[in-house]
Amino acid sequence: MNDFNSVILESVTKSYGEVKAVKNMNLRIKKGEFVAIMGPSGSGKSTLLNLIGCLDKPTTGKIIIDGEDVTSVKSRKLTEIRRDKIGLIFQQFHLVPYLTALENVMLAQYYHSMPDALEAKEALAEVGLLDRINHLPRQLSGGEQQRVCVARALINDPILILADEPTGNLDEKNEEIVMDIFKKLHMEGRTLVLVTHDVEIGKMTQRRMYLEHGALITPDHFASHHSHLIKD
Amino acid sequence: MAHNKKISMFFHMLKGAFFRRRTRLVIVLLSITIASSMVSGMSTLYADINSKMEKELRTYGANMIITKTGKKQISLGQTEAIKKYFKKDKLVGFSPYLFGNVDLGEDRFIAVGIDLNNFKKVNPYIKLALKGGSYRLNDKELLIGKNVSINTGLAPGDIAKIKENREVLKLKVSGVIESGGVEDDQVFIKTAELQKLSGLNSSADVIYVSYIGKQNTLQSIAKKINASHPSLEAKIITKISKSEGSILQKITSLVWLVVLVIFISTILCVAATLMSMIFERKKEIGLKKSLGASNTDILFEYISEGSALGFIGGILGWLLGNVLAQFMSESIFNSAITIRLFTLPLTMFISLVIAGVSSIFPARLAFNIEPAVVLKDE
Amino acid sequence: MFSRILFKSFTINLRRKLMAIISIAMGASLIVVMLNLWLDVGDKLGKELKSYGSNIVVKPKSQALPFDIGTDVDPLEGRSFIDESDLLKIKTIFWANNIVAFAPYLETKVKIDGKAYPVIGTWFNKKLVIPTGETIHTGVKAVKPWWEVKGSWISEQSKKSQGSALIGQNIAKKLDLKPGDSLPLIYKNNNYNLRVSGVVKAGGLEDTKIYVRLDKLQKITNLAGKIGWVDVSALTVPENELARKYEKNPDSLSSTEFEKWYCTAFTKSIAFQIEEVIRGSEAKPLKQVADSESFILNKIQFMMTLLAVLAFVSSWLGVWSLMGAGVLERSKEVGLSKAIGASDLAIIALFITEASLVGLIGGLVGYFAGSGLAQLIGYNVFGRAIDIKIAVAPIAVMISVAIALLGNLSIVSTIVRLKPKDILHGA
Repeated sequence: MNDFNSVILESVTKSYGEVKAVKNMNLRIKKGEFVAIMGPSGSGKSTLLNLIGCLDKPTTGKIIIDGEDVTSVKSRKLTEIRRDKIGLIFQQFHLVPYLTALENVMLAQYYHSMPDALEAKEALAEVGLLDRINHLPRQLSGGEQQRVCVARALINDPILILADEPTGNLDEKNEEIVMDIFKKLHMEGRTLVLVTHDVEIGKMTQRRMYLEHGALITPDHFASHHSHLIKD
Repeated sequence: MAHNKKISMFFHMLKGAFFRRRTRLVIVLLSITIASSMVSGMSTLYADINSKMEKELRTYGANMIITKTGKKQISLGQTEAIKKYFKKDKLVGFSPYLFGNVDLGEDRFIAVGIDLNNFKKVNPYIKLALKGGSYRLNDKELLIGKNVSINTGLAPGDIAKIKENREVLKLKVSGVIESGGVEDDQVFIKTAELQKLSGLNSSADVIYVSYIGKQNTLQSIAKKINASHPSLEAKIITKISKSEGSILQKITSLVWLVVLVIFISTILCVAATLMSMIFERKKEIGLKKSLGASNTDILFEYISEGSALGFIGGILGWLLGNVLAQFMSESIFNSAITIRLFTLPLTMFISLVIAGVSSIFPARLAFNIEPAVVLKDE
Repeated sequence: MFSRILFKSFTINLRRKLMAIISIAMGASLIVVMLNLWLDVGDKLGKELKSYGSNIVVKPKSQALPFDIGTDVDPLEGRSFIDESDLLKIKTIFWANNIVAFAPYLETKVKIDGKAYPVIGTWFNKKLVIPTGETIHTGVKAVKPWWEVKGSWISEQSKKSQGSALIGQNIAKKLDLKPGDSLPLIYKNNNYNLRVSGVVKAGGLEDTKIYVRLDKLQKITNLAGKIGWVDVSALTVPENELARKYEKNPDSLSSTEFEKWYCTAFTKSIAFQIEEVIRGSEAKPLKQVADSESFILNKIQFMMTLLAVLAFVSSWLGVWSLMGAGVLERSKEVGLSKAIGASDLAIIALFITEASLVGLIGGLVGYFAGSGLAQLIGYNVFGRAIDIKIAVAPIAVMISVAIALLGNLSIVSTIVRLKPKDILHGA
């Protein structure tokens, strides 16, 4: 049964002192799904993403990524799993300022296995940046920088792609470009988890999960309590 | 084959870190270069200060005196033999004096037979009195002390009649010299001419020596001379030699301490600069960690960067430091420095240590950086 | 409100501020150390150079100094003398405080075992009460600090020591004498029996002479209250243009120039003042000591100046690079402030106030640290405390504030040109 699930969370709680950012969460994400995790700020979505993305460990509960229990593995092993299986994309496009687009993508390869300029080039071509591979981040627009991040996230052929408000800092046009890339990736059969507060973005995904105060709530509950988030 | 790709990527990153962060790089390189130049310059200066100061202190004149123990005067052969006990490059002056009593007009004066060049070297403070003339002693010439000039009324250019017993010499006064001491009451002529006047053919009554060396060195030379020439007595002029030792020691320790203070203060400032610059790269570290870099990877990268900087800055600083030391040596001592090889490894070592420690320290703090925390920084 | 913002802004990045203060303090303390040393080294070294002995010789006008090469000439015949009673006046001249020591001499020849030997009457360590009421000790012991005496020095007070003599080591060897032995001598057909109290190892011509108390020799030679010449050891400052001008031609100085010359402790001006108080005398700088002293002091002062400049430049560069290193962090704060609506002027005012505070604190800390360090160095090298000049404090603080402000200058100009959106939307 587990072969069908990329991500399984069982009774996961993450506490910071007294505060429970994620409360007793149970969820499953199937292979190839395009899921959105939605909620207002403070709902715990970033924390949840960190847990799924192997950037953090749960206080209690169990997390299984691609059939592997990552709940209590050593930090080094967690890093390895994250490196091998997960591609991360953040709202703030984190690129090394003194490396070119190509080199930034190769960086991910460098820490994983072997830098391969050809593969990196292909990845950048996939996101439409073939003519920008030798540019430095400061020579790229916001949208282009984010696309480099996407290419980087893909380079090690991860089984899971996690994006935290990836279009938050982009204008409409670039937002469209990036979301198109995500749609294409979904078509190719990759598993994508998107964290967003934007209902329109959420509509572009396959399934939506709603968070409030660290717990999953029903869509109606979300609609009634967070109507202000619904754009007209 | 596989390894090469990784290595070349590593160097790519290193190059990027260097050449694409220009202002950063300039600041860091400058800091390390300054620190290294202080190390190199100050250590060269300190190494030289002792010998250069020793030479300057010879301005006080003779620090050793060789006299006769009995009535027998010092012969030319003895003079030459004694001279051999002194190292040529440290012998500043070696001046035999021959004494005689002469009549100049109605007064009696002490005449000193000298070689003027040697005389000048052991009495560098003796100058021409304001009466002028020239400070030279050619054949048939006479130098007179200031008081002699006042008493006899002789001035440069005048012909003086010198008499000892029955011999008379007519000499032209070439100049009037002044010392504030006994020389002001004496007259000076060429040794050969005094020998003619007194009818003696001995070389000297006394030899004054100005030699660069500490009291122990002088004492051992004196011992050797006394052992091989019992009719002579070689002695250190304690007043000069003892003071010199004490002054030299004080100046050297003063310079050493000042140099040390400059040194340390610069190094601390530089290390602080480097460390604060690395703190800025927290995000970069977080990012790399999120991409799978381990603490060891991060540490290694920063140490490499630090080492490369330390190496280049060290060499530049070493060169700059030598230029600085040369400038100071020329302006203070009018002499060139000796480029000392030990300063190169010393400078490189310190420069690498500064760069290394300044890289490691923040890098170790980076161990605790959680990628999640840094990457969520808003 | 401004003070609240200032307080917040200051404390918010305390670590960075602390580092800035510390590095400025280090730079400032370096400058303070160099300044203190630079100001004091001349004095300290000048005192050390007194170990070379007297730098001024006072003798009767147009009298030659005794120089013995073994003739039978009586050194006292047909000579003029200085009055002993005038000696105390040396400690009343303008530069009285610079007179470290002085010793009078009277020299003649005596016969021992049929041979002629020089004898000098002097003060060894005489206690004097000078006109100001102060008590001083002075004499050969102070003027010739390199003398080593085996046995004991001659006391000035006791009656017994009137018959004591210190003999030079050459004479001790020649006559086979040691402390405690008797020394019979003849002066002008009178017999005297002295006792050897000590043997002097002077390392010079003094080793060939016999030293007795001045009053004893005056009695023997029937020259009460008379002195042959005086050695004076004075603290002086090196020659400069003014001193050289006087040397060339004393009359070429205007009255203001002369006053300045008189009130500067040149060897020549101190000698001039001594001539004023000792009748019939001529005081001359002993070039060997005076000129060499001047030469060495000038050289050391120059060296200290160069080192001070070097220290200043390197500390400034060090601090500047540290300030420069913090530019990026500050830019964000500034961008935000600007976006909120702060005017350029307000931001600049904030920076200037901050920089001044950092400079002030750093400068003060540096002043105390530097003074302490200078003291340590002073004790280590000279065995004495450095004269801490208060004037150094404001200089240190001013330089620190200047450095702090300059360090922020480049930031300020960058900041003013910055657009908020660049900061907020950049990574």
